[in-house]
Amino acid sequence: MKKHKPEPVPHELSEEEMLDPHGNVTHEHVILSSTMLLGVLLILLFFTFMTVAASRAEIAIADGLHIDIPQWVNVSVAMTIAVIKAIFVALFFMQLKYDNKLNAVVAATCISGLGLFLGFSMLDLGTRGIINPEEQNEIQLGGAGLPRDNKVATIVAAKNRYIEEHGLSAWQEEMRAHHGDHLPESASWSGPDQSRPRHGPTGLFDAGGAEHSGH
Amino acid sequence: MSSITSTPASGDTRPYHERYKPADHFRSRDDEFDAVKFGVWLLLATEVLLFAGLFCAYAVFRMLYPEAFANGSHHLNWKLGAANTVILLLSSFTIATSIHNAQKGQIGWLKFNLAFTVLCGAAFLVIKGVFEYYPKLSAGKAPGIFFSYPFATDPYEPIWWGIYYCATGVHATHVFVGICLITWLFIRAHKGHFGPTHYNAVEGVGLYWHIVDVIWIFLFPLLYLIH
Repeated sequence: MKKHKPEPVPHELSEEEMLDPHGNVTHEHVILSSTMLLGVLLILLFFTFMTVAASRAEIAIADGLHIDIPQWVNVSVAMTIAVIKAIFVALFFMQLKYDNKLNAVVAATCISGLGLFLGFSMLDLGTRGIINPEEQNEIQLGGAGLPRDNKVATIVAAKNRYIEEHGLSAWQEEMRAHHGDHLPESASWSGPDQSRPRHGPTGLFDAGGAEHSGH
Repeated sequence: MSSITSTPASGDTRPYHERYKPADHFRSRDDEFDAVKFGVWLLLATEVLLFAGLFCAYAVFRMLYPEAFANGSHHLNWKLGAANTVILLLSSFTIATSIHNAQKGQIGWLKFNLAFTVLCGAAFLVIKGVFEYYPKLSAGKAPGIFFSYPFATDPYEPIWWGIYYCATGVHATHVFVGICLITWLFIRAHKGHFGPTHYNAVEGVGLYWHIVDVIWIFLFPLLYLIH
Protein backbone atom coordinates (compact mmCIF):
# COMPACT_ATOMS: atom_id res chain seq x y z
CA MET A 1 0.00 0.00 0.00
CA LYS A 2 3.04 2.32 0.02
CA LYS A 3 4.33 4.42 -2.84
CA HIS A 4 1.44 3.87 -5.24
CA LYS A 5 2.26 6.80 -7.41
CA PRO A 6 -0.06 6.60 -10.40
CA GLU A 7 1.75 6.14 -13.65
CA PRO A 8 0.51 8.07 -16.68
CA VAL A 9 -0.95 6.37 -19.70
CA PRO A 10 1.17 7.22 -22.75
CA HIS A 11 -0.71 9.83 -24.65
CA GLU A 12 0.14 11.94 -27.66
CA LEU A 13 -1.45 15.30 -28.20
CA SER A 14 -3.79 15.32 -31.15
CA GLU A 15 -4.05 18.23 -33.51
CA GLU A 16 -7.25 19.51 -31.90
CA GLU A 17 -5.69 19.33 -28.49
CA MET A 18 -2.69 21.36 -29.58
CA LEU A 19 -5.02 24.06 -30.86
CA ASP A 20 -7.24 24.04 -27.78
CA PRO A 21 -7.46 27.59 -26.45
CA HIS A 22 -7.84 26.48 -22.83
CA GLY A 23 -4.91 24.14 -22.93
CA ASN A 24 -4.48 21.33 -20.40
CA VAL A 25 -7.17 19.20 -21.99
CA THR A 26 -5.07 16.11 -21.58
CA HIS A 27 -4.58 14.58 -18.19
CA GLU A 28 -3.03 11.47 -16.88
CA HIS A 29 -5.23 8.41 -16.50
CA VAL A 30 -4.45 6.54 -13.35
CA ILE A 31 -3.15 3.00 -13.56
CA LEU A 32 -3.37 1.20 -10.26
CA SER A 33 -0.73 -1.48 -9.89
CA SER A 34 -1.81 -5.13 -9.64
CA THR A 35 -0.12 -5.49 -6.26
CA MET A 36 -2.13 -2.62 -4.89
CA LEU A 37 -5.39 -4.06 -6.19
CA LEU A 38 -4.46 -7.40 -4.67
CA GLY A 39 -3.69 -5.69 -1.37
CA VAL A 40 -7.13 -4.05 -1.34
CA LEU A 41 -8.74 -7.45 -2.08
CA LEU A 42 -6.90 -9.02 0.86
CA ILE A 43 -7.99 -6.18 3.17
CA LEU A 44 -11.61 -6.66 2.04
CA LEU A 45 -11.44 -10.42 2.63
CA PHE A 46 -9.92 -9.79 6.06
CA PHE A 47 -12.79 -7.50 7.05
CA THR A 48 -15.32 -10.04 5.73
CA PHE A 49 -13.72 -12.61 8.00
CA MET A 50 -13.84 -10.14 10.91
CA THR A 51 -17.53 -9.34 10.52
CA VAL A 52 -18.47 -13.04 10.38
CA ALA A 53 -16.18 -13.82 13.32
CA ALA A 54 -17.69 -11.01 15.41
CA SER A 55 -21.20 -12.25 14.68
CA ARG A 56 -20.32 -15.89 15.51
CA ALA A 57 -18.51 -14.81 18.67
CA GLU A 58 -21.55 -12.90 19.89
CA ILE A 59 -23.79 -15.91 19.34
CA ALA A 60 -21.28 -18.18 21.10
CA ILE A 61 -21.07 -15.80 24.07
CA ALA A 62 -24.85 -15.51 24.28
CA ASP A 63 -25.47 -19.26 23.99
CA GLY A 64 -22.45 -20.61 25.84
CA LEU A 65 -21.89 -18.09 28.60
CA HIS A 66 -25.47 -16.78 28.75
CA ILE A 67 -24.25 -13.20 28.52
CA ASP A 68 -26.75 -11.12 26.58
CA ILE A 69 -24.88 -8.60 24.46
CA PRO A 70 -27.07 -5.57 23.72
CA GLN A 71 -28.25 -5.49 20.14
CA TRP A 72 -26.68 -2.14 19.34
CA VAL A 73 -23.22 -3.70 19.78
CA ASN A 74 -24.07 -6.32 17.19
CA VAL A 75 -25.47 -3.73 14.77
CA SER A 76 -22.71 -1.16 15.15
CA VAL A 77 -19.87 -3.67 14.76
CA ALA A 78 -21.43 -5.11 11.58
CA MET A 79 -22.22 -1.69 10.09
CA THR A 80 -18.83 -0.17 10.96
CA ILE A 81 -17.04 -3.00 9.17
CA ALA A 82 -19.40 -2.70 6.19
CA VAL A 83 -18.68 1.04 5.93
CA ILE A 84 -14.91 0.44 6.08
CA LYS A 85 -15.19 -2.15 3.30
CA ALA A 86 -17.32 0.17 1.16
CA ILE A 87 -14.77 2.98 1.62
CA PHE A 88 -11.97 0.72 0.42
CA VAL A 89 -13.96 -0.34 -2.65
CA ALA A 90 -14.87 3.28 -3.47
CA LEU A 91 -11.40 4.77 -2.95
CA PHE A 92 -9.32 2.15 -4.75
CA PHE A 93 -11.43 -0.17 -6.92
CA MET A 94 -13.63 2.73 -8.06
CA GLN A 95 -10.58 5.04 -8.06
CA LEU A 96 -12.29 7.92 -6.25
CA LYS A 97 -8.99 8.70 -4.53
CA TYR A 98 -7.30 9.55 -7.83
CA ASP A 99 -10.29 10.56 -9.87
CA ASN A 100 -11.77 13.81 -11.06
CA LYS A 101 -13.15 15.34 -7.84
CA LEU A 102 -16.50 15.95 -9.53
CA ASN A 103 -17.23 12.20 -9.25
CA ALA A 104 -16.48 12.32 -5.53
CA VAL A 105 -18.97 15.21 -5.22
CA VAL A 106 -21.66 13.05 -6.86
CA ALA A 107 -20.87 10.21 -4.48
CA ALA A 108 -20.88 12.50 -1.42
CA THR A 109 -24.18 14.13 -2.42
CA CYS A 110 -25.74 10.74 -2.89
CA ILE A 111 -24.54 9.51 0.51
CA SER A 112 -25.90 12.68 2.17
CA GLY A 113 -29.28 12.03 0.55
CA LEU A 114 -29.18 8.48 1.86
CA GLY A 115 -28.24 9.78 5.31
CA LEU A 116 -31.13 12.27 5.40
CA PHE A 117 -33.57 9.64 4.24
CA LEU A 118 -32.54 6.97 6.74
CA GLY A 119 -31.66 9.39 9.53
CA PHE A 120 -34.95 11.24 9.71
CA SER A 121 -37.00 8.06 9.29
CA MET A 122 -35.18 6.44 12.20
CA LEU A 123 -35.30 9.59 14.30
CA ASP A 124 -39.05 9.77 13.81
CA LEU A 125 -39.79 6.14 14.65
CA GLY A 126 -37.21 5.95 17.41
CA THR A 127 -38.16 9.03 19.37
CA ARG A 128 -41.95 8.83 19.37
CA GLY A 129 -41.89 7.55 22.91
CA ILE A 130 -39.84 10.51 24.12
CA ILE A 131 -42.22 13.14 22.83
CA ASN A 132 -45.49 11.37 23.55
CA PRO A 133 -44.88 8.60 26.07
CA GLU A 134 -48.28 7.07 25.37
CA GLU A 135 -47.20 6.45 21.76
CA GLN A 136 -44.03 4.67 22.78
CA ASN A 137 -45.30 1.16 22.10
CA GLU A 138 -47.95 2.07 19.58
CA ILE A 139 -47.01 2.52 15.99
CA GLN A 140 -49.67 2.89 13.35
CA LEU A 141 -49.76 0.14 10.77
CA GLY A 142 -48.93 1.35 7.33
CA GLY A 143 -49.59 -0.17 3.95
CA ALA A 144 -52.77 -2.17 3.76
CA GLY A 145 -53.20 -1.49 7.47
CA LEU A 146 -54.32 -5.03 8.13
CA PRO A 147 -54.86 -5.66 11.81
CA ARG A 148 -52.47 -7.89 13.66
CA ASP A 149 -55.07 -10.67 13.92
CA ASN A 150 -54.97 -10.91 10.14
CA LYS A 151 -51.22 -11.56 10.26
CA VAL A 152 -51.69 -14.12 13.01
CA ALA A 153 -54.29 -15.80 10.80
CA THR A 154 -51.67 -16.26 8.06
CA ILE A 155 -49.25 -18.18 10.22
CA VAL A 156 -52.00 -20.09 12.05
CA ALA A 157 -53.49 -21.19 8.74
CA ALA A 158 -50.08 -22.46 7.60
CA LYS A 159 -49.69 -24.34 10.87
CA ASN A 160 -53.19 -25.86 10.69
CA ARG A 161 -52.66 -26.99 7.11
CA TYR A 162 -49.53 -28.85 8.19
CA ILE A 163 -51.27 -30.43 11.19
CA GLU A 164 -54.14 -31.61 8.99
CA GLU A 165 -51.70 -33.31 6.65
CA HIS A 166 -49.15 -34.71 9.08
CA GLY A 167 -50.78 -34.74 12.51
CA LEU A 168 -50.21 -32.68 15.62
CA SER A 169 -47.37 -34.75 17.05
CA ALA A 170 -45.40 -34.41 13.80
CA TRP A 171 -45.86 -30.65 13.95
CA GLN A 172 -44.73 -30.47 17.58
CA GLU A 173 -41.69 -32.57 16.81
CA GLU A 174 -40.75 -30.42 13.84
CA MET A 175 -41.33 -27.28 15.88
CA ARG A 176 -38.89 -28.50 18.53
CA ALA A 177 -36.39 -29.44 15.84
CA HIS A 178 -36.67 -26.00 14.23
CA HIS A 179 -36.60 -23.83 17.29
CA GLY A 180 -35.05 -25.97 20.05
CA ASP A 181 -34.90 -24.16 23.35
CA HIS A 182 -35.49 -20.84 21.69
CA LEU A 183 -39.20 -21.42 21.21
CA PRO A 184 -40.66 -18.10 22.26
CA GLU A 185 -43.79 -17.68 24.33
CA SER A 186 -46.55 -16.05 22.37
CA ALA A 187 -46.39 -13.18 24.89
CA SER A 188 -43.01 -12.18 23.49
CA TRP A 189 -44.40 -11.50 20.05
CA SER A 190 -43.79 -8.02 18.93
CA GLY A 191 -46.40 -5.94 17.22
CA PRO A 192 -48.32 -2.73 17.51
CA ASP A 193 -50.78 -3.98 20.12
CA GLN A 194 -48.36 -6.29 21.86
CA SER A 195 -44.95 -4.80 21.64
CA ARG A 196 -41.87 -5.28 23.69
CA PRO A 197 -40.17 -2.00 24.50
CA ARG A 198 -37.21 -2.56 22.29
CA HIS A 199 -36.89 0.38 20.01
CA GLY A 200 -34.90 0.60 16.88
CA PRO A 201 -32.23 -1.61 15.47
CA THR A 202 -29.73 -0.08 17.86
CA GLY A 203 -31.69 0.48 21.05
CA LEU A 204 -29.90 3.82 21.28
CA PHE A 205 -33.20 5.66 21.23
CA ASP A 206 -34.70 3.64 24.06
CA ALA A 207 -36.89 5.92 26.09
CA GLY A 208 -36.51 4.59 29.58
CA GLY A 209 -37.47 1.04 28.71
CA ALA A 210 -33.92 -0.27 28.83
CA GLU A 211 -34.54 -2.79 31.61
CA HIS A 212 -36.73 -4.83 29.24
CA SER A 213 -34.36 -4.88 26.31
CA GLY A 214 -32.62 -7.93 24.91
CA HIS A 215 -33.88 -11.13 23.41
CA MET B 1 -19.37 5.37 -29.21
CA SER B 2 -21.13 6.77 -32.22
CA SER B 3 -18.11 7.34 -34.34
CA ILE B 4 -16.81 3.80 -34.19
CA THR B 5 -16.39 2.18 -37.54
CA SER B 6 -15.56 -1.48 -37.61
CA THR B 7 -13.66 -1.37 -40.90
CA PRO B 8 -10.45 0.63 -40.97
CA ALA B 9 -10.23 3.62 -43.23
CA SER B 10 -8.13 2.80 -46.23
CA GLY B 11 -4.50 2.74 -45.35
CA ASP B 12 -5.14 2.97 -41.61
CA THR B 13 -3.70 -0.22 -40.16
CA ARG B 14 -3.60 0.92 -36.55
CA PRO B 15 -5.48 -1.25 -34.03
CA TYR B 16 -9.07 -0.37 -33.32
CA HIS B 17 -8.52 1.39 -29.98
CA GLU B 18 -5.96 3.70 -31.57
CA ARG B 19 -8.16 4.52 -34.57
CA TYR B 20 -11.02 5.28 -32.22
CA LYS B 21 -12.30 8.83 -32.51
CA PRO B 22 -14.48 10.38 -29.82
CA ALA B 23 -17.97 11.64 -30.63
CA ASP B 24 -18.01 14.97 -32.46
CA HIS B 25 -19.01 17.07 -29.47
CA PHE B 26 -15.91 16.07 -27.47
CA ARG B 27 -12.61 17.86 -27.92
CA SER B 28 -10.58 14.79 -27.16
CA ARG B 29 -10.70 11.18 -26.06
CA ASP B 30 -9.91 12.32 -22.53
CA ASP B 31 -12.91 14.65 -22.48
CA GLU B 32 -15.11 11.80 -23.63
CA PHE B 33 -13.60 9.47 -21.05
CA ASP B 34 -14.35 11.99 -18.27
CA ALA B 35 -17.90 12.52 -19.51
CA VAL B 36 -18.56 8.76 -19.69
CA LYS B 37 -17.25 8.28 -16.19
CA PHE B 38 -19.25 11.19 -14.81
CA GLY B 39 -22.40 9.83 -16.46
CA VAL B 40 -21.85 6.42 -14.91
CA TRP B 41 -21.37 8.04 -11.49
CA LEU B 42 -24.73 9.82 -11.87
CA LEU B 43 -26.31 6.45 -12.69
CA LEU B 44 -24.67 4.93 -9.61
CA ALA B 45 -26.11 7.72 -7.45
CA THR B 46 -29.61 6.80 -8.60
CA GLU B 47 -28.83 3.13 -7.95
CA VAL B 48 -27.81 3.88 -4.37
CA LEU B 49 -31.02 5.86 -3.85
CA LEU B 50 -33.05 2.97 -5.29
CA PHE B 51 -31.56 0.67 -2.68
CA ALA B 52 -31.95 3.39 -0.03
CA GLY B 53 -35.70 2.75 -0.19
CA LEU B 54 -35.14 -0.93 0.51
CA PHE B 55 -32.68 -0.22 3.32
CA CYS B 56 -35.15 2.21 4.85
CA ALA B 57 -37.97 -0.35 4.64
CA TYR B 58 -35.65 -2.85 6.31
CA ALA B 59 -34.82 -0.44 9.13
CA VAL B 60 -38.42 0.62 9.73
CA PHE B 61 -39.81 -2.91 9.80
CA ARG B 62 -36.92 -4.14 11.91
CA MET B 63 -37.73 -1.38 14.39
CA LEU B 64 -41.39 -2.31 14.43
CA TYR B 65 -41.01 -6.09 14.57
CA PRO B 66 -37.59 -6.99 15.97
CA GLU B 67 -38.64 -10.52 16.95
CA ALA B 68 -39.85 -11.36 13.45
CA PHE B 69 -36.55 -10.16 12.00
CA ALA B 70 -34.47 -12.05 14.57
CA ASN B 71 -36.43 -15.24 13.80
CA GLY B 72 -36.19 -14.67 10.07
CA SER B 73 -32.45 -14.05 10.16
CA HIS B 74 -31.98 -17.45 11.85
CA HIS B 75 -33.39 -19.13 8.73
CA LEU B 76 -30.54 -17.79 6.58
CA ASN B 77 -27.29 -19.71 6.32
CA TRP B 78 -24.43 -17.30 7.02
CA LYS B 79 -22.01 -19.65 5.25
CA LEU B 80 -23.83 -19.18 1.93
CA GLY B 81 -23.95 -15.41 2.50
CA ALA B 82 -20.23 -15.30 3.33
CA ALA B 83 -19.40 -17.43 0.26
CA ASN B 84 -21.33 -14.99 -1.93
CA THR B 85 -19.52 -12.05 -0.31
CA VAL B 86 -16.13 -13.59 -1.08
CA ILE B 87 -17.22 -14.35 -4.66
CA LEU B 88 -18.35 -10.75 -5.25
CA LEU B 89 -15.19 -9.26 -3.70
CA LEU B 90 -13.09 -11.52 -5.89
CA SER B 91 -15.05 -10.45 -8.97
CA SER B 92 -14.62 -6.79 -8.02
CA PHE B 93 -10.88 -7.40 -7.89
CA THR B 94 -10.85 -9.10 -11.31
CA ILE B 95 -12.86 -6.33 -12.99
CA ALA B 96 -10.57 -3.69 -11.43
CA THR B 97 -7.61 -5.69 -12.75
CA SER B 98 -9.20 -5.90 -16.20
CA ILE B 99 -9.10 -2.08 -16.37
CA HIS B 100 -5.42 -2.27 -15.48
CA ASN B 101 -4.98 -4.84 -18.29
CA ALA B 102 -6.74 -2.62 -20.82
CA GLN B 103 -4.57 0.35 -19.83
CA LYS B 104 -1.45 -1.76 -20.26
CA GLY B 105 -2.66 -3.37 -23.49
CA GLN B 106 -2.61 -6.88 -22.00
CA ILE B 107 -5.56 -8.13 -24.06
CA GLY B 108 -5.18 -11.80 -23.10
CA TRP B 109 -5.34 -10.98 -19.40
CA LEU B 110 -8.16 -8.51 -20.04
CA LYS B 111 -10.24 -11.31 -21.58
CA PHE B 112 -9.28 -13.73 -18.80
CA ASN B 113 -10.31 -11.29 -16.06
CA LEU B 114 -13.59 -10.41 -17.77
CA ALA B 115 -14.42 -14.11 -18.19
CA PHE B 116 -13.52 -14.78 -14.56
CA THR B 117 -15.82 -11.95 -13.45
CA VAL B 118 -18.70 -13.42 -15.46
CA LEU B 119 -18.11 -16.82 -13.84
CA CYS B 120 -18.12 -15.22 -10.38
CA GLY B 121 -21.41 -13.47 -11.13
CA ALA B 122 -22.91 -16.74 -12.36
CA ALA B 123 -21.69 -18.56 -9.24
CA PHE B 124 -23.31 -15.86 -7.10
CA LEU B 125 -26.66 -16.34 -8.84
CA VAL B 126 -26.44 -20.14 -8.58
CA ILE B 127 -25.80 -19.97 -4.82
CA LYS B 128 -28.60 -17.45 -4.43
CA GLY B 129 -31.14 -19.26 -6.58
CA VAL B 130 -30.40 -22.94 -6.18
CA PHE B 131 -29.17 -23.07 -2.60
CA GLU B 132 -31.13 -20.21 -1.04
CA TYR B 133 -34.30 -19.18 -2.90
CA TYR B 134 -35.39 -22.63 -4.05
CA PRO B 135 -35.22 -24.52 -0.73
CA LYS B 136 -36.73 -21.59 1.15
CA LEU B 137 -39.64 -21.12 -1.22
CA SER B 138 -40.24 -24.90 -1.23
CA ALA B 139 -40.50 -24.80 2.57
CA GLY B 140 -43.13 -22.06 2.37
CA LYS B 141 -40.83 -19.25 3.51
CA ALA B 142 -42.33 -16.93 0.93
CA PRO B 143 -43.10 -13.22 1.12
CA GLY B 144 -46.41 -11.70 2.21
CA ILE B 145 -49.58 -13.61 1.36
CA PHE B 146 -47.61 -16.48 -0.21
CA PHE B 147 -46.20 -17.39 3.19
CA SER B 148 -47.06 -20.99 4.13
CA TYR B 149 -44.25 -22.04 6.48
CA PRO B 150 -45.94 -24.01 9.29
CA PHE B 151 -43.40 -23.35 12.04
CA ALA B 152 -43.48 -19.55 12.30
CA THR B 153 -43.64 -18.10 15.79
CA ASP B 154 -44.12 -14.42 15.01
CA PRO B 155 -47.05 -13.07 12.99
CA TYR B 156 -44.79 -10.63 11.16
CA GLU B 157 -42.37 -13.18 9.72
CA PRO B 158 -44.01 -12.88 6.26
CA ILE B 159 -42.89 -9.21 6.28
CA TRP B 160 -39.29 -10.26 6.96
CA TRP B 161 -39.44 -12.57 3.93
CA GLY B 162 -40.94 -9.76 1.87
CA ILE B 163 -37.97 -7.51 2.71
CA TYR B 164 -35.52 -10.36 2.16
CA TYR B 165 -36.79 -11.27 -1.31
CA CYS B 166 -37.18 -7.65 -2.43
CA ALA B 167 -33.70 -6.58 -1.33
CA THR B 168 -31.83 -9.66 -2.55
CA GLY B 169 -34.03 -9.96 -5.65
CA VAL B 170 -33.37 -6.40 -6.82
CA HIS B 171 -29.69 -6.96 -6.10
CA ALA B 172 -29.63 -10.28 -7.99
CA THR B 173 -31.26 -8.54 -10.96
CA HIS B 174 -28.37 -6.08 -10.93
CA VAL B 175 -25.90 -8.96 -10.86
CA PHE B 176 -27.65 -10.48 -13.88
CA VAL B 177 -27.50 -7.18 -15.79
CA GLY B 178 -23.82 -6.91 -14.86
CA ILE B 179 -23.14 -10.40 -16.22
CA CYS B 180 -24.74 -9.44 -19.54
CA LEU B 181 -22.70 -6.22 -19.72
CA ILE B 182 -19.42 -7.96 -18.92
CA THR B 183 -20.15 -10.62 -21.54
CA TRP B 184 -20.59 -7.75 -24.02
CA LEU B 185 -17.22 -6.35 -22.86
CA PHE B 186 -15.63 -9.76 -23.39
CA ILE B 187 -16.91 -9.96 -26.96
CA ARG B 188 -15.63 -6.45 -27.69
CA ALA B 189 -12.29 -7.23 -26.07
CA HIS B 190 -12.08 -10.34 -28.25
CA LYS B 191 -12.66 -8.15 -31.31
CA GLY B 192 -9.76 -5.97 -30.15
CA HIS B 193 -11.80 -2.89 -29.28
CA PHE B 194 -9.97 -2.05 -26.08
CA GLY B 195 -6.45 -0.88 -25.47
CA PRO B 196 -4.44 1.81 -23.69
CA THR B 197 -6.03 4.61 -25.70
CA HIS B 198 -9.65 3.51 -25.48
CA TYR B 199 -11.35 1.54 -22.71
CA ASN B 200 -14.36 3.72 -21.77
CA ALA B 201 -16.81 0.80 -21.65
CA VAL B 202 -14.58 -1.31 -19.40
CA GLU B 203 -14.25 1.60 -16.99
CA GLY B 204 -18.00 2.31 -16.92
CA VAL B 205 -19.16 -1.29 -16.47
CA GLY B 206 -16.41 -1.75 -13.88
CA LEU B 207 -17.85 1.09 -11.79
CA TYR B 208 -21.32 -0.42 -12.04
CA TRP B 209 -20.05 -3.82 -10.95
CA HIS B 210 -18.32 -2.27 -7.93
CA ILE B 211 -21.53 -0.60 -6.75
CA VAL B 212 -23.31 -3.98 -6.99
CA ASP B 213 -20.53 -5.31 -4.75
CA VAL B 214 -20.86 -2.40 -2.29
CA ILE B 215 -24.60 -2.97 -1.94
CA TRP B 216 -24.01 -6.65 -1.15
CA ILE B 217 -21.38 -5.58 1.41
CA PHE B 218 -24.26 -3.95 3.31
CA LEU B 219 -26.97 -6.53 2.58
CA PHE B 220 -24.85 -9.41 3.86
CA PRO B 221 -24.50 -8.26 7.50
CA LEU B 222 -27.99 -6.73 7.61
CA LEU B 223 -29.71 -9.94 6.53
CA TYR B 224 -27.38 -12.74 7.62
CA LEU B 225 -25.36 -11.51 10.60
CA ILE B 226 -27.53 -9.16 12.67
CA HIS B 227 -29.77 -11.21 14.90
